[in-house]
Formats: sequence, structure tokens, C-alpha cells
Amino acid sequence: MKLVHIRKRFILVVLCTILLTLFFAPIYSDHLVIGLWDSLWNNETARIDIDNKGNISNEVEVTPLQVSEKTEITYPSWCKKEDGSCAVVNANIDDKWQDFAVEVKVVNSGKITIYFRGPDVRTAENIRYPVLVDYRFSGVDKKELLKGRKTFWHDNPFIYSFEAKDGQKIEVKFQARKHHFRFSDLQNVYHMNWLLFISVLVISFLLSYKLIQYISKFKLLEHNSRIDIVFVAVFFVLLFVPMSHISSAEKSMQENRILATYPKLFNKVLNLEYGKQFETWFNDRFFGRNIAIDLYSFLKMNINHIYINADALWIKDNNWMYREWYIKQKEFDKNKADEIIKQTNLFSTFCRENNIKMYMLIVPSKESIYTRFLPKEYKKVVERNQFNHYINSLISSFDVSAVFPYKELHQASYKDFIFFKQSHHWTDWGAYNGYLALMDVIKKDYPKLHISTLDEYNISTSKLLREDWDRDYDIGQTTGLLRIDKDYAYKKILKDEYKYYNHKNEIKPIITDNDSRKEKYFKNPQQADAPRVFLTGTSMNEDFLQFLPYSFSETKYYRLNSGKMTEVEMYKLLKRFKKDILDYKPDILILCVTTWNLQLFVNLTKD
Amino acid sequence: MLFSSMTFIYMFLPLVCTVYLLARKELKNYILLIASIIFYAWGEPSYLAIMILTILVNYIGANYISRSHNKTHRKWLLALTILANLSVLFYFKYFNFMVENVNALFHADINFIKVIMPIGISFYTFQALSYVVDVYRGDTPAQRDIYKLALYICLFPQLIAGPIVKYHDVAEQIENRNVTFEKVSYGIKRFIIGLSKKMLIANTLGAVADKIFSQPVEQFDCFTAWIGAVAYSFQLFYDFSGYSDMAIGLGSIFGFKFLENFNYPYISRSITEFWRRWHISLSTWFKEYLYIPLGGNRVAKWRNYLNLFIVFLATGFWHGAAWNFIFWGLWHGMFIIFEKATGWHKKEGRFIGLLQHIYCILAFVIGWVMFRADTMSYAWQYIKNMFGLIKTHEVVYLLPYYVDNIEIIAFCAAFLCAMPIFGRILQIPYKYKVCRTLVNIWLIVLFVVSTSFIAASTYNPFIYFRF
Repeated sequence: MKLVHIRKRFILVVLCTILLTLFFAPIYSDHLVIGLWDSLWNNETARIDIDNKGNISNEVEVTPLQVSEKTEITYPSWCKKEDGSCAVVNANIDDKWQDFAVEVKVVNSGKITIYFRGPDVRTAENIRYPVLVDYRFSGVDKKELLKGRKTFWHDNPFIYSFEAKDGQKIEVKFQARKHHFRFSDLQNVYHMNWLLFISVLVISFLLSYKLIQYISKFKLLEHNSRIDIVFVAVFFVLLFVPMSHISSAEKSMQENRILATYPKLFNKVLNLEYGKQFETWFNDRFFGRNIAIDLYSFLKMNINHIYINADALWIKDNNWMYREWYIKQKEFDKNKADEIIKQTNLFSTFCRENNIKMYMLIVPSKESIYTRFLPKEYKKVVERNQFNHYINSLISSFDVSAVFPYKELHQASYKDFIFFKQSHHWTDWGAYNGYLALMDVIKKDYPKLHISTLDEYNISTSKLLREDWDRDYDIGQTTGLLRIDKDYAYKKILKDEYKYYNHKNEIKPIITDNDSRKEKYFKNPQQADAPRVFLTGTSMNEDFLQFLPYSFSETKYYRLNSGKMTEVEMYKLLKRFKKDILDYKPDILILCVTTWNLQLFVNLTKD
Repeated sequence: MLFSSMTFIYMFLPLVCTVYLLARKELKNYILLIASIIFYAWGEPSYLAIMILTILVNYIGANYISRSHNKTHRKWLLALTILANLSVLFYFKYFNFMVENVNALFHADINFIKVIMPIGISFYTFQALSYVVDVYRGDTPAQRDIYKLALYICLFPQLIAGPIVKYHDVAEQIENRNVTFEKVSYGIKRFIIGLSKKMLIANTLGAVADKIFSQPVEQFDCFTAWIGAVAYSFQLFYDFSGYSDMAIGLGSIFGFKFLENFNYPYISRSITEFWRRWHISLSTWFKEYLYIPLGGNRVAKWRNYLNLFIVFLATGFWHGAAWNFIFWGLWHGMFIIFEKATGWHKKEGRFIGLLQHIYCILAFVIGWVMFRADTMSYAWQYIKNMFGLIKTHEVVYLLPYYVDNIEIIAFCAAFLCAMPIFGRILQIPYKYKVCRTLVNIWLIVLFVVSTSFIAASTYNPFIYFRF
């Protein structure tokens, strides 16, 4: 064999050994490859968190003093806690040292804590890993804190704390750059186990040697085209990629569900469902799953006029997004309708027996209000099904004061957005119109009730959507469902300004939020004589709560769809809330749901 | 396990390939046999027993046949083995259909059996029959090694959806075959082409057909009905031929050479030609093991027509236990007999050639409507709609609901690839390096895109939760 062949083969073996050793890095280290890769090449952010702790109203106001275009300051919602809040400074760094300076204004006296750290970067399983940032010459109010080069990451920050007074201004200066590799990182940060590393290296070398020897036989024996050798190699590499790393995440945030767990082959006896369960497990967790699904979404999004994914559709011409479920809604079969009426009336009887006035607000679908923006092939379906007329006739059989404000919302939809274009949720304006329609009915029973007017509200605008539990700004539920990239949504889709209404005397609710319960409790001293309300329903209530609590003395809201419940369990209202209702003893019970949810009312009083 | 699943492509295949390609020659058959058993047992392990039973029956039957020198004895043994094979097939596939018809015809009340048809039973039963008949005819010696017979019957590349490999075509390869780089490379390319046909064309057009066929016929117009019928025709072809391509490709990776199963059937000018190009392994199976034993065409004309009638009745019945499959078979049989009787399909000329094409397309597209429809009455209404014979339409969904740009691209690709334009794409000589490279890159792109389509099917958001 020629020397040149041997040399080539040796280079290939070395390359293959390196690749295999890196591939098996999780065996001998803790996020070594991904962490170092991000630290040395990918990362462009140094992060400083500035905390003001003392009480709930403690805050900090941060303004950049230097290299301002490279400094981004945010006040994320997770920062707001019962003992104060914080600001996050993201400084844009590169390979060379750069100076950054910000001024911190203290709002309410408290303990200021500054964290010099790296960015919060996580794996697909939501596990944070070390992305390093180099710091030097950090100083607070001319006091030098760091001498020489120091390296920090998110979970291992440099922390500096001191007491500060209300209105005090503090100057924070620092120099930062991308991390430059140091051998000690391997041990200190990535917890390298050298014995295991050597073992993996040796095994990788042996494996590579055998593999290259085997592959080279093909070349030598058959004189095949190099093009085909590369092709076969690429194919086999691709085959191994998805199983190279199996996600251990418990749930998928994007899909909003628990991921399948690894099945047992034997459960005393052979598990005959093992194959199917294994497939579900692998389908949920293979490496590169999100990238592959995003590629599919990207193709469909860019080729089709209407992009459809998982029941959601986006009409690219006008940026309206709809849900196929709502488009195709048609009347329930008679048995189901009868059961819905029966169950609703049974629930109403329970309320009556406990001296509670029950009202129901049924939110029409966006698809029925904004049929005019649907393409004609879908518009015809909505018009044909006439689901609104059906709902009107259905609720007339309820033994409850039920409000279905289709006409009101439809009329109001010509003044401003009733629904967000990128979500199935209604806007504040939509919720306000729903509120007015409901209050019109309640006022007949309680004439002294105060109905809020828009003068009582401050109005702000944003292109982002505030629609769910925490009313954080986001790109919209339907945008997420369609798997549209956030940056793309910011640039191409979110072009309209939405109005947000915040009461001038805002009532801050007491919030309970855990796996089993989602509750908000509002106490309104300005309407101390007004009735007490027990409100339950779906996420439509989140914007609705901008208005309702200002008409009542107390409002206790229980979110229906919360926790890990099945749809059937969610709608067993009596079983879920009987105790809460009887303990709270409200004057009024309001059930606020969408037309789609009505079908689940067959379970209202079931055990 | 399906070829077009993440588990097969990205778990099963790489592991089996690695072990198989690195193993010593004498171990290769055993590795394939174990892989095939795992592949089959994956979805429904209980039905493995039926396959094992099939293997045992045919192993014993064929060995007795080969050892016996008494003609009558051999005939009885053959009949017994065939009967055993067909009984299993009948029980799982046709019993409930028979009960349903007997109940309807005689107002009887025979209970249905609760049974799910074992996957691939029609295919492996026919393969087993081919083996026993080949041994009986003396075309091939009986296989003394049960493991090799087991491998023939349950070889996973063609186990679930064919092609139906006849024993005499692969007997030698089971004994002795070479795995070469060329075969592996060709096999991968063929597999990718099959996967792309299935994922990118068949599934895309299948969604169009599903949407249309799920509507009552009055709710779409004549043009939409044709779109649905054509979409289904393409779906069926690309689904089935895609699966065959994957099977042939996998076979090639493991050193086998399976015969082609499709040869551009939609360019046929007659139904006779169509059946020479469509599901070739099944049509040749029926030809070799039914049509010729019945006398073939070396009999009186009426008998020949009867033989054709029987063959196509059996073809329809083989595809499924429902009347629409039987009618579909007879529909094709009718045209074959017509062509045999008139010789119309043999006439030549440019204009007549065009007419022959149109005739053939109409015949098989209408046939596919029967094949696709849930009931014959729906099929009949659908066909009437295609020809504008439905008087009152209440069109709900307009055409853009069914077809967007991706579907149009899939239609164009389906149309072009149904003709032998790209037939020699995998045989580009080595000297055309640029072309070869471009083809390889294109195949990798197809593979990645097909994977994204498979992955997208695993995207399963719990939509309700956030309402």
C-alpha cells in the first residue's frame, strides 16, 4: 500500500477519533462540547442582574451610560417577587475587551445585589449549562471589585451586595469579552473525568481504526466513486443523528403536553404494547426533532398561501390567524345538546339552592366575528353552519341568564380589534364589550352595580399580544401553535398596534398558581357594598379580569383549564369547585367560556 | 413497524445495518432473521405465532412433497399445504366478510369473530405458496434449513407490502450473496427515492383525496371530484411504488436483488399493458400460480375469458374483503377480456394511441374510485359526480380548500415522475461527476425533507389546554 494512502487513512482515523470522543463527551464531562462551543464561538452576551430587595415596591431603573447601542436593559416578569424586583442588563460582547457602564436608580430603599454572570442558555431538556464570559475591572461607584481576568457563567456569578437608599444613583462599570479558553475550565467548569476521558479516547481510536479500515476496503477493492463514498457516509451519519441524544425533558412547552416516558419491556409479563410505546417515546424525544419540525413548517409557510399546522391556519395575505375547529363548528347532535342543557340546568339548580345567582357569558368565536377576513373557501363553511344562530337557540333552553354577545362584538369589531389577529383570545376591547353585555343583564338583578367606563382606564399600545394568565407580552397563541419563529413573527407578522386597558386604580390580585390550581383573588374596597363574585372559565377571562373586579366587592377567579387534567375532568365543575363555592359563599357565580367549550358541559355535575 | 417511521429509519435501520455490514458472512442470514422477527413483532407480537405456524407448515409440507415419489401423494400434500395457508388467510381476512354476506343473504345471525388481520399476511402467505408450488413443480429443491426458509418468508424489507418475492427468484441469493459497496450505495439511493415518493408525494396528495372523499358527493363539484380521483390515483401509485422502492433498496443494502414491482403503469395504453406494469410481482404471481394452471390462453376462447375472469376476481379479492375490491377486480377483468376479444389495444397510430391513453386512464381512474370509496353506493355516486350526473349540488368547500401550492407542486411532481423521464437517474456513469454529485446532493436533500415531514407528524400539541 502506498505511503500516501496510509497517511490519508491515519488522518481519517484521527479525525474520526476526535469526532467520536466529542460525541461521547457526556460520559466524561458535564456539557463540555455544547458549553465550550457556545462560550468560545456562539455567545455574544454578558449579563448583569441588578436586584433591589426589601419589599414588593422595591425596584431599580437602569440607564446605559456607555456603548449604549450594545446594551439592552429589560425588566422581566419573573424578576418581580414579593420582596422586590430586578433589572437585567445584556451587554453585547466580542473577542476584545469592551467597556460598559450603566446607571442604576434605586426606587425605595433596599439591599442592592449585582450579579455578573453569563447568559441563561439551556438544552432542549431545559437544563442550564455553563456558557462562560470573561470579566475584568468591574466597579460599583468607583470601587474596584475585580482584579485581573475572571470567568463567570449563569449559575456561578460574581455577586456584590450593598444597602442603598431611595433615589440613590449608582454607577456600575465593567469590562467584558467572549471567553478565551483556559485548560482549567475543563476541570473546574465542565467537571472532566480524566480516567473516563482516556477510556473513551482509546475506545474511539480502536473503533475509528476498524471503521476506516472497513470502509477503505470498499475503495480499494471496487474502485468506487468518491462521490458515492461521501454520499453513503453522509447518509449513515444522518441515520445516527436522531438517536445520538435522547431528550430527558418531562414536557414540551411548545406542544403543551407531557412527553412519553420510556416503556417497560416486561411488566411481570411481556409488554405487548412495547413497540408502540417505544415509538411514541422515541418520536417525542429524538435529537433534532424541533429542527426537523421547524423545517417542515418553514417549507409549508413559505410555499402555501395559507399555512396550516395543527388545526391553526395563517392567511399570509392579511396576517389573520384562525382555528379550523372554530371554522367547522356546527350544531351538536340532539342527544349531546339535551345532555348539555340538562347538566347546565342541574348546575344552575345547585347554585339556586345555595342562594347564588348564576350567569353565563359565552364568548363567540373569532371566526364568526371576523368571518370577513377568511378566504372564501372557509367563509362559506362558517356561513353555512350558522353556528351562532344555533348557540342562540341552545342557550334559550338554559335555566340560567346566559349572555351570548355576538351582535355587540360584531358591531364593535368595526371600531377596533375584538380579537387578536394572532390568537383565538379576545383583546381588552373585546373583553370590555363582553363585560358591558354581561353587566347589562346582571344590572337587572342588581341595579346599584357600578359599570366601569373607559375613562377609568389608562390605555397603552403594543404590537405584541397580552392575552393569557400572566398578561405578558408575547407573539400570540396561534403563532406559537403554527411554530412560527419569534424573530420572524416580530418582523413579518406583528404589524398592528393593540390597545391595552389598565385601570387607573389597579387592584393587584392575590395569585395561586401551581400544577393543580390557578386562582386570582381581587378585593375592591371602592365597591365594598357590591356583591361577591365567583368567576370560573377558560383563558378568555384573563383579559376579562381587567374590567369585572371593578364592579364587585370581591372577585374570586378559578381558571378551568389548569394542571394536568383531562378535558372531561376539567369540566366536572361541581366535583372540582363545590367546596370552594360553598366556603366562599358568593352572591354571584359567573361562568365564562367559548362556544367550543359548550360541548364539554355534558360533564358539569358528573362525578 | 413502518418504513416511513422515525423508529425504523433512525433506530432500527442504522442498528441493523451496522451489525449486518460488520458481521461475518455466515452470520448475516441469522442477523437478518432476528431483525425481521423484531420488525414483525414490533407492532403486534401475538401475531408472530401465525407467521411461525406458516413457516412450519410450509417447511414440513415442502419437505414431504420433495421426498415423496408418489404423484398422488405429492398432489395431496400440496393441496393440504395450500389449504392450510389459505385457511389462515381466510380466517383472518375473509371470515367476517363471509359472515356479513351470509347474514344479509339468509337473514341469519352468525356472530362475527373479534380478530385483527395480521399485518402483511396476504403477502407472506403468497410467498409461502410460491415456495411450496415451486418445490412441487420441481423448480427448486425443498429448503432443508428452516432458518433459511424462515428468512425467505419473513425477510423484513418485503414483509409488509411486498414485492411478493417468488421463491425461485431468491433461493440462490439466500444461500449465497455478496454485499458490495455498489449495492449498498444503490440501495440507499433507492430507499431515499421510495421514502420521498411516500412522504412528499403520496401523503401530500393523500390528504387532498382524504378531504374530498370524506365529503358527501353533493358537497363538491365535478371538477373537484376529478381532482380527488386523480389525487387518489397518484397517492396509491406513489405510496405503493414508494414502498416497493424502499423494499428493493433495503434488499440491495443487504445484498439481495428483488425484481421490480412497478414500471410506469400510468403511461399504459391498455389495461392489459397496465397489468404488466402495475404490481408486477402480484400479477406475475397470479399468472404463474393461477392463470397458467387454469389453462392460460392455450384453451378455447370462452375458457380463456373465464380464466381471466377468475384471475381478476381473485385479484380484487386479494386486495381486500369488501365488495368494492371485488368490483374493482372485475372492472379490470372486464377491460382485459374486452381487449382480448377485440384486440383494440394492439392497433397503432398517433390518434388511436391518444385515444388508447385516454381510455386506459379513464378505466383505471374510475377503478381507483371504487377502490377508495367506503361503499359501492358512494363510489357510484362519486363516479356520477365526475361526469356531471349529480343534479343538485350544495358545494360547501371550494377547490382552494383542498389544494394549495404544496399540493400543486406535488401534483406536478407526481405527473412528471409517472413518466420515464428520470428513469436512469441512478445509473449516471461515473465519468459525469458533476451530474452524479448533484443527484447525490438532491437525494440527501430529499431525505432530510422527508424526515422533516415524518417528524412533523409527531408534532402533537395539546391544543385544548390553553383555551
